[in-house]
Amino acid sequence: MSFERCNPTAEQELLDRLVGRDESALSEVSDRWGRMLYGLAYRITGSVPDAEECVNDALLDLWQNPPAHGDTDLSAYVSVLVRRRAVDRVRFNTANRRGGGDYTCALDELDQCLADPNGQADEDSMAIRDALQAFLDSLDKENRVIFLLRYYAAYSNAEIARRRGIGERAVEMRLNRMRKRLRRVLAEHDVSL
Amino acid sequence: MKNKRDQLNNAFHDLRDDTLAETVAAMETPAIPQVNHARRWLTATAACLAAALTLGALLTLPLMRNDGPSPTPPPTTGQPSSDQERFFYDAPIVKLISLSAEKTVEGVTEGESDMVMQIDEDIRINHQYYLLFEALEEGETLTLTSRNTTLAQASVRERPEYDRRVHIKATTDYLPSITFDPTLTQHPEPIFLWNYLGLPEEARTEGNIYEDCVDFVIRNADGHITGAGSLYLANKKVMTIEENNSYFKHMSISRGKVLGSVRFDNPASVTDEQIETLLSEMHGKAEGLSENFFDESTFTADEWYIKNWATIIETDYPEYLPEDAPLLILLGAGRIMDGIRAHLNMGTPENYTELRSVFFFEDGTYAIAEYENIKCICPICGEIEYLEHPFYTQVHNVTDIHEEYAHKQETYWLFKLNDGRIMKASLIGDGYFTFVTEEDAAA
Repeated sequence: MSFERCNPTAEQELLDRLVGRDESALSEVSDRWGRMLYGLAYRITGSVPDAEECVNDALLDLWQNPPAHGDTDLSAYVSVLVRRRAVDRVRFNTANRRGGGDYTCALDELDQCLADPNGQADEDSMAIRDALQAFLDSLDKENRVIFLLRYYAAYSNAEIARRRGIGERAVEMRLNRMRKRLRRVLAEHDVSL
Repeated sequence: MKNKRDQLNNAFHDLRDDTLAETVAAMETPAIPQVNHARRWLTATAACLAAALTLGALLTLPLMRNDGPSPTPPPTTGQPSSDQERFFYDAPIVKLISLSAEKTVEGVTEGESDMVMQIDEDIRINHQYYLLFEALEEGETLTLTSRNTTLAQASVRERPEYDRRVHIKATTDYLPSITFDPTLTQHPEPIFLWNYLGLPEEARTEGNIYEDCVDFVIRNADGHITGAGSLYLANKKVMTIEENNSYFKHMSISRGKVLGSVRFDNPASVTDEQIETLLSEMHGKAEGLSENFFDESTFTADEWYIKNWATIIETDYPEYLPEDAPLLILLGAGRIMDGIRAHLNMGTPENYTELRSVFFFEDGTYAIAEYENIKCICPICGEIEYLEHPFYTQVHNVTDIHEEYAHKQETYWLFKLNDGRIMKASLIGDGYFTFVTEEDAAA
């Protein structure tokens, strides 16, 4: 398995093959990003079988509904598919009092950005999306990566510290400040909290 | 979707591809290889805190949380970077921050030769090198050497009451140190004591560049070398002291670069010859560096280059100060002592150099403190005194104070940061810092 970043041209080619119903393309997706996707699912679900199932389901999603052509980043797209599955699985498990992993810890932290996390969801989900995107756009790349590693990919602070070559305490402090900032941005975007 | 929590969480799925792509790329990038035993990450800084350029280190030892056992080996996207031929792998151990600053003193004329000498002695080129030792394991000792001379040693020490901060001093005679080793204070060639008097003649000539490599070796409790690296440090004299003028001003620029930093796969089998060869290869990377080393356009975002304090305040002041960020190092606190010495020896010049400190926090941000109402508790008599306190000037001299510091008397300073917060800094022992209210500060 290659751990090198797939170049944009190769990704587009892979995408074209998926659209063209080339089954080997799906295998290649699994080969290229399978471990990363599994890791993402595992960190969220905390369960090996759940993680495997999420990745398999996501790949099936990808096969059945490949993204449109254009500027789609295939690895990011597939990671979203996996995350959605994993999040749904956690919600299911939580409802049935099972599992959760580090992911729920990350969610608990994000609750700090919301005045009423358990309040009823807004009808306008895009407002939160826009606010979140604006918040992330306002960060420099390093902080953005740290934030998403934690709250998108459910990495632990220790793992983030190892990957980014910084101290764990520094990760904690950065995340703390970014959560406060996100809270402000959500308010600025008039997102009902 | 039931609640706002779910809504926010789901919002991550609708982010732009490019936003997620860089994070996915980070997830694909192999992590730094882990050792086979529990590791405690240590952050240390070497602070040059007096007017003389000195090197100390502040170690922070945050425990790395145990994330718990995995039911099966959790998948990683990395593979060990070491191979059978290489006996080491790249590992960040130090981060180098070098700064320079300007100091101006007026009011002394050439005719007062004794005072001129005192001024020369008091005015140190404010080269301040900070080494952040980012990864030292418990039981390890880091040794800094230059030209076969040991400059400093730093080791991990548990200090839970101060959030595991350990203050290591290498060369300063102004500050105490828990791991103070008197044998290290006598430096025949003060590489880090890059004050005006201490530099070789060629370095004290305007326009000249003085450069050197400083190596570090890390040993574990068994004496095996577990890591090594080298730093390139250079100084460029920009302005000379105008000795024929009552206006003394000098400035120099210092900058450093990590040439290499590695950990060894099998410390027990590493030989001295291998270490020497490795360090020599790192030194080779320093060749030709000085040509553009002082070209500001080459400075990276990670390097803080401060030409003078005014520049910091006018252009580099951060938009916000870190909230509750742990203080990493204190730059310039020794200037208090410098000021005290100046006051003791010379009285108070009319336009005495403003006293400022720069606090560097773990997350890389920094804050500038301008001293106001500096007060300290005299370690000898226990009274709270201000900088111009006549009692302090009349009764005590610097030598006494230094001796007391060496015995770790309780002393602290209060700094007022630019954002109005009051920081209480103890430079005795661990050099811990806390924020206090104005009421507490006035007490």
